[in-house]
Amino acid sequence: MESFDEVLTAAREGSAGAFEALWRDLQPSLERYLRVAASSAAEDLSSETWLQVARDIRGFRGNESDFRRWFFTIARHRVLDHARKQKRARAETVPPAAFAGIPDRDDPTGEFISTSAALELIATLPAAQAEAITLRVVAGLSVSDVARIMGKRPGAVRVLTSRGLRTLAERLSGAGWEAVAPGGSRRGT
Amino acid sequence: MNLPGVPTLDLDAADMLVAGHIPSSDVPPPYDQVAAVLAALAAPGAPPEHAAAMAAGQTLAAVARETPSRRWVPRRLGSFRLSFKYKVAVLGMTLFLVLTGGLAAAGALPDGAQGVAQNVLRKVGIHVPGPNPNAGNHPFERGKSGKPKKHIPGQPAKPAQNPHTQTSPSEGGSS
Repeated sequence: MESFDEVLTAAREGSAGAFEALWRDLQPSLERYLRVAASSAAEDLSSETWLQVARDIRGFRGNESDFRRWFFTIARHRVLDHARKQKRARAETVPPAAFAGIPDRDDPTGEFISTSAALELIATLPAAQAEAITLRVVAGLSVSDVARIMGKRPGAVRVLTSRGLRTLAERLSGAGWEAVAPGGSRRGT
Repeated sequence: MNLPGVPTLDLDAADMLVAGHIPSSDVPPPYDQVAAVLAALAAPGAPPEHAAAMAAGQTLAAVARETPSRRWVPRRLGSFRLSFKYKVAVLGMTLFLVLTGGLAAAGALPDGAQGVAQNVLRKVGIHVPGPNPNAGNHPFERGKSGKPKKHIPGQPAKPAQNPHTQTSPSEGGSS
């Protein structure tokens, strides 16, 4: 198994195998992040992100952790560019279909929900909360890395995460899911 | 809206939950379902198809090879569009040069600057007046070249440089 530094060096030199290794490692997380952040354009933004990475990889300096942060920073910039172009508000209401895969707590056969349903649920949160949770859970980034990607203080990221989890708990408990105002702010909070 | 049944997680607990340090079976309601959702989010997905990974690798490698290293390519090379900052800077510099040149031509710059302007412009074939020879050396004396100098007893009076204000020999030199 090649080390990350060897893979990165080979990728800088244009090795197809190195890019394949990077793609296998990061593409699943990228797909999930983009499904939450920009579901309608996830596929296109994924391609744009990778092309940007391929163009800029020679200029990258850092270790594996730095690379992940750099990679998701590029992905986030693509999401923001897309959002500026679209200038559309997030869905005004939480689609009931997002809750279709949630098992009843009392249902003895109920097990983990599918990843797809979980992504749909997270996507219903206010944008910043959803992004903080996704980058931490899906991309596996630290609080400080997420803070740098989002341009916020670490404390703000922790608060966003906590609020997101609470919002999720409210909605999952049945009484909490409600209209989401355009722009992602939740009614009543 | 605060639901009475949903307590707020403290930040440390939220961090541990997100990091997967607490098994969902150990998380009390209503956060047990949240933990299940987070576990589903972090669950390893099916590995990408081999053919898709290979195709992606080849495409990206080709892009990387075709892209010149950015370290050696100046930004905006080939683009003649200037940003607003540069336009303001160029306009400001032009105004400065025009105003300074005009003042130098009129001989209205301070002595030091006028001397520099004269030397610099002489090299490019433009003749402008030099510093005012009647100006005093001290800032307090500037602009008073037309006034008669005070005579200090015990010291010989210096002849004035300005012929229009020159004193007669009978007026100076006697104590």
